[in-house]
This record gives sequence, C-alpha cells and structure tokens, in this order.
Amino acid sequence: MKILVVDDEMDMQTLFEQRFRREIRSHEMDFAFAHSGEEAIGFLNRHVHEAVLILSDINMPGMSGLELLREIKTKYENPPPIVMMITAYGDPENYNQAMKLGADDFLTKPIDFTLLKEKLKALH
Amino acid sequence: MRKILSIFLFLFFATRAICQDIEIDGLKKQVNSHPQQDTGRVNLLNELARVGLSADESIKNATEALSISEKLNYELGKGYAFLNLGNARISEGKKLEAADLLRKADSLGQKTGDIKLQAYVLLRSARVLQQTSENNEALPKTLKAEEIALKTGDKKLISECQRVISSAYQNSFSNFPKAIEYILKSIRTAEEADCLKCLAQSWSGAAALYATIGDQSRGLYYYQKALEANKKIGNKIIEANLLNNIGERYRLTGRYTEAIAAYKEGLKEETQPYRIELAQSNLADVYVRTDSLPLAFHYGFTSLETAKKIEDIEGIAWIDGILSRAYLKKKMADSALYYAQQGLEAAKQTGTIEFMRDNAAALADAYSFKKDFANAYSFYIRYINYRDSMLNAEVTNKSTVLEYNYDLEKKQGQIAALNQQKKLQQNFLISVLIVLLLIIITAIILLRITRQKQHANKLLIQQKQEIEEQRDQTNKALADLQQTQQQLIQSEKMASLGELTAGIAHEIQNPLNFVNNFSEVSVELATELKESVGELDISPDKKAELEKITNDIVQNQEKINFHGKRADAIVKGMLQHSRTTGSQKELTNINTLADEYLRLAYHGLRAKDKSFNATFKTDFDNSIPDVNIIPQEIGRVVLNLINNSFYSVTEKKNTSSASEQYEPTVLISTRKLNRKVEIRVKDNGVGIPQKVLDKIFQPFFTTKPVGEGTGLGLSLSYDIITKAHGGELKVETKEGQGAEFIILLPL
Repeated sequence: MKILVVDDEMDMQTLFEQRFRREIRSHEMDFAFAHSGEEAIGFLNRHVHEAVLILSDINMPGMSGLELLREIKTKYENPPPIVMMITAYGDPENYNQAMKLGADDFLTKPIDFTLLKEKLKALH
Repeated sequence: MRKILSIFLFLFFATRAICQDIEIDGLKKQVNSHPQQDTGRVNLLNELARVGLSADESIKNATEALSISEKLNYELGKGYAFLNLGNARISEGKKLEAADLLRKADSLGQKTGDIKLQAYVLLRSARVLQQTSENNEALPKTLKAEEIALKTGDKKLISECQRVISSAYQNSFSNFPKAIEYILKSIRTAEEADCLKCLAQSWSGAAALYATIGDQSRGLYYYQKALEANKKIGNKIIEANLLNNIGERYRLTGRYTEAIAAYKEGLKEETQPYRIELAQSNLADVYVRTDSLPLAFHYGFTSLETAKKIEDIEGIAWIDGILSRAYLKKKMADSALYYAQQGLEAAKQTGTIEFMRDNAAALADAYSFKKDFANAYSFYIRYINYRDSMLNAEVTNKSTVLEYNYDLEKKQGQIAALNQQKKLQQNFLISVLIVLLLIIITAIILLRITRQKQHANKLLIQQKQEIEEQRDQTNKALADLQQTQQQLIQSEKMASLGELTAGIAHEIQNPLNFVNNFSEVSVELATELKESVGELDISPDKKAELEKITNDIVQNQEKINFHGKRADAIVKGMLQHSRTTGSQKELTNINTLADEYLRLAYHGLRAKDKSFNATFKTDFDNSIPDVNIIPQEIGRVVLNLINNSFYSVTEKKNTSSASEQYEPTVLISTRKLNRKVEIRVKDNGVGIPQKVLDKIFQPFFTTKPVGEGTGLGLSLSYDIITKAHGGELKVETKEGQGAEFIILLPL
C-alpha cells in the first residue's frame, strides 16, 4: 500500500519512517512524502494510481490541505485515493469543511501513531 | 308808563288764575275718584284748595275738607282747611276774617305739631300783613316761615318762602340786594325740588324784581324763561301776563317792534278786562312813540273805555297821558290839554307820582305849544318836582343796586381768588397725588424686581442643587465608568492574555509533538538496540557496558517523553482558552449543577488521596430560575473553585498544629439577586495573600508546587465567566482565614 504523507514539517518524514520502520522493512507499507500541496499534486501526476492513501496536513504555506483535498477528490476519480486529514486545529469548522470536501477521516495532532497504525492496517 | 305790576300783585294773580292747569286737573280727577269721606279725601281737597285757581273754588273745597275733618275729628285736616279758607279770604281782601282763620289754623298747627302747616300759616299771615301795609312785620314772619320750612325739607315750600321773603325785602325796605339774594335762592331751591311750577313763579319773581330796579335785560331774560316754563305748564292767563311784561321790557328798551309783537300775542289769550286794558294802553304808548298815531288813538280810546268801565283810575291817568301826547303830536293842543288835565286829576286821586309827572309834562308841552308860557312854566316846574321825587327813589334804587353789584363783583372777585386758590390747592394736591402715585409705582416696581430677584435666586439655588446632583451623578457615573473600564481593561487583558496563551500553546504544540513522538520512538529504538546488543557476540564486559548505555538512553528518552507529556498537558490547558466559545448555552438549574460538581470534586479528590477529608456544606436558594449558561463550562469553573478550596483547607490542615481545633469546611451557596444569580464558594483555608491578589486570574500564576498546578485554572475560569457568560468573578479573602470566590451571572 502506497501512502503519501503531505506535511510542510520536514521532520514528519523521519518520524513516519521511524514509526513505521517495521512496516516499511516488511514492505507492508510504502511511504512517499511531499512537503507542500503542490508537491503532492506533482507526485500524484507522476505516479498515477500509485498512492492509495494520502495523509495531509491542513495548515501549509501555499496550497492548503483542504485545497489539495478538493483537487484530489475532483480530479483523481477512478478510484480516488483515501484521504485522511491531519491538523493541529481540531475545530469544528475545519472538520466540517474537510468532511464536506470528501475527506475519509480526520485526525488531530499530536498524531496518535498507535491509532493511525491500526486504522491503516484495517484498510490494508 | 305803567309799572303797577309789582311782584306781589303778580303772585296774587298767578295763584288766583282762573285758568286750568295740569296739576290742578290731576288733583280734581283724584278728588272725584275718591268719594270716601276719609282723611285721604280731606288731604286731596285741601291740596286742591291750596293750589286752587279761584277763591270760590278754594272756599268750596276747603269747606268740604273742614266738615269731613270735623266728623273724623281730623285735626290736621281742619288746620289745612282753615289755612286755605284764610288764604281765600286774603284773595278776597277780607283781611280780618283771613287773620281770624289763620289764627285757628295756627293753633291747630301748634297742637298737632305739624311744622309744615305752621310754615304755611306764617307765610299766609305775612301776606295779610303785606296787604294791610304792615310790611315791616311781614318780613320776620316770612323768615320764621323759611326757618320752619327748612326743617320740613319740603323744597317747594322752602322755595315759596324764599320768594315771599324776597318780595318782603323789596316792598317793605326797598332792600333790593336782599330781595335779589332771596329770589335767586328761591330759584335754586325750586331747581332742587325739580318743580317746574315753582321755578316759573321764582323766575317771574326775579324778572319783576330786575324790572323794578331797571335792569331790563335781566328782567327780559327771566320773563322769557318763565314764559317757556308756563307754556309747558299750560296756564294761559299767566302766559298772557308774562307776554305783557316781556312787551314792557322791549318797550322800555326802545325795541318797539318786538314790544308790539309781545303785547299782541299776550292780548290773544287775555280775557280779563283789566289786563286787556293794560296791554292795549301799553300798545297805544308804543304807537305814539313810533308815530303810528291812528293805531295809538285806536288802542288808546279802547283801553280808556275799559278803564272807565272797571273804574281803574290809575289806568285812566296813564291812558290820558298817552292820548295827550298823541294829540300834541297831531298838533291838536286843546285836546292834548284836555286829556293831560284829566290824567293829572286821575293821578292825583290815586296819588301816583309817575302819572302826575307824565301828565304835568304833557300839560307843559301843550301850553308851550299854545304859547301859554306862564302855564307851560308852572307845569314844567311841577314836572321837574315830580320827576325829581321819582328820580330820588330811582336813584336810591339804582345806587343800592350799584352798590349791590359792586359788592357782587367784589364777592365774585373774592370767589375768583378763592377759586384760584382752590385751583392752586387742587393743583398742589394733584401734584402731591402724582408724586405719591409715582412713589407707589416705584415701590411696586421695586417690590416686583425684588420678588423677581428672589424668584430668580430661588431658581438659581434650585438649579445649583440640580447641577450639584447631576454633578454627583456624573461623578458617580464616571467612577462607575472608570471602574467598569478598569474591569474591562482587566478582562481585556485577561482575554488577550488568554488568546496569547492559546496562540503560544499552539505554536509550542507542534515542536512539542515532535519531541514527544521522537522520544517515544527513540524509546522503542533504544529498546530494540538493547535487544540487538544482547544478540551481539562480544565480550561480556563490553556487552554490559553497551547495555548500560542503551538503558541510559531508554531512560533518558523516557524522561524526555515524561516532561514532554507534562508540557503537553500545560499546552492542552492553554489551548482550552481558545475553545471556550464552542458549546451551546442552555437553561440550567444552577443548584443542581453546583451540587453535582461539588460531589464530583470531593470524590475525585478522595479517589486520589484517601486521607483527604473535609466538611462541605450547601446553601441553595430555591427561588432561582433556570439560567441560560454553558453547563460544562460553568461546571468546570465551579469544579476549579471547589478544588482550590479543598486544596486550601488541606494545606491549612497540614500546617496547623494538632492542638488547634480546625475543621476544614467548604461552603457552596447560591442566591438570587436583582437580575443576577450569585454562586459563592467559601472556604476556611489559608486564604490569598494581598500582594498576589491582583495576579491570581493571570495565566500561569500558581501557588502550588511545580507540577501540581498549571496556573491556568482561575485564568480559564475568569475567561469563562466574564467572556462567555458576561458575568463577574470576584474574590474576598483574608490571609490565613480563608477565601470566598463569588460568581455573578446575569439572568
């Protein structure tokens, strides 16, 4: 399962790689990383249908996570990848908007990796 | 010329006039309509007898009055009847009888005490005396009559008295000034009495008086006034008489045409032979003087015939003189001589000097015409003698009148001077009044001004008070405003601090997440490393050393994670500042809520610390309605405050000595205020030091040891109460004795 993580925090990649080191080693999960919405779009264009799951931050400079979500959900239809939004602001406004735009799940930071791991495994 | 109509005679004729007049007509009707034999009829009969026209009529009425009065024994009626009978006798010239009747009337007047009757008796007695030429005695009686008449207040009677007094002065003493004085008084009284008949008589009297003293213009004036009045009264006889007199005045002042007209008009109504003769003879005189000789002869002979018929000797003397002058003008000296001699004889019979003089003059002229100068001279001398004796009388009259006029002028001068003085006094008085008025006006104005000032002052004081009140109110409002502003600044500070806190927290959270996450994953990695080290084939010492290092790493990472988690807890608390507006308000029972959270707090603490024990009490006001609040938020505040209280009482219990009787107590009470709800959380714990009181609502301020409190509880509570609910959070405390937190929520 190819998972694309979109976050402007560079360290997020390291954290994911260490947290999911066992899954990556066993090729259970394959992670790709983008540090902005635009980068994520570029990845998706280059690797059509590769990403099954997208984990995106909302607050990012440039294209926001919600814009990215809209982009993905409108352009990558067949079948659209699962998108989970992750944000530091767990306010109802962000949640409602994300859900309206078709987000599949909504997580708040700090990320509970144990819970995320379970969710991903359930998808797999 | 004939001046025989003295005022006395005139009065005689006026009262004896046969003709009817309005007053008499009225009285006659009254008598006829009152046939009852009573005092009323007596009075009417007497009144009629008094004003009656003829002596016969007067006697008839008075006799009837007397007989009824005797039957009724009506003394006063008898008195007046005697008076009127006496008066009638006077007219008839029966003086002795008259005097006898008047004495009877007088005794009845004295007996009944009727002063009016007494006055009349006196007046009539005076007339008797005048007729018997006892003029000197007549005057005192008339004066006495006036004195009594004045007491009766009967103006008509008074006027008559004054008229008779005037005539007495004139006839008895030739005292013309007094006569004038009294006739004028009489006129005035008649005016006051508003009696036209009295006025006419007085005017006639005045006219005759002035005519006697030769003041023809005044005589004419009064005769004309009397004539006017008589026309209204309707007594034709008197009217004719007056016209004759008016003619006389014109004749004597040379206004012959007017004289002729007056005589002729008078003649029209005249029926009495004597007066017809009089008027005709006067006309004859005027015609002689105007050289209308045929008319002069006509009137002369006609009147002479009448005079002879009625045996008016004086008239014959007068007319003979006229005829003599007429014949002389015709140059018939013998005829002139004849008539003049006849006239002189007649005049000698009556003793009338005037006509002796006239006829003497006529004889002198006739003899002179006949050139018989000796006789002419002798008659001329006689004429001069007659004339002089006449003149003496006239001169005396005139001089007294002149004297009188002089006195009058002097008096008028004095009157004028007095009037002038009076006028001056009046002017002075008016001036004084004006000044007084001005002073009063000024005083009033001043008073008004003072009043207005007082009023204005009062207003000013009132306004000042109002202003002061307003100022006080304004000051209070300002103080309130400043306080509110202070509170606002405080709450704004708190709010911004809260927001800042949330912002900071958010910024901290991201890096902190990494710290926590990396430390967690590092613990895992280090644990894995330790396992790998165990599998390594190396010396036991080296292995032991590596294991020790990896253990330390694990331990360190765990510590990093522990403290990271601590920081995370703080950040989470801080973040709650920005989340307070989230939930919905709903109507909540405050008492239930407070009770719930009190128990929650108590049992929560008991769960943590088994040794914890404190008394908690509640005092709820059940009248509080449901309040619109966010229950979780208010609950959190209540929980916070209760936790603090329990902490405080525990602290105090831990520090107090065993000997001290200390019972840790927490009281939660609610109360309904005006448009507000109050929740109080009171403890008897350690209290809050004064120096930190200002800081307790600030974020991160805490008195608890490190790790036990975040310093956000009260800050957050403050935010919830003030920002989300528009209420107030206050504290009352005394260090060492406890604290009381007060939540005020608007209803």
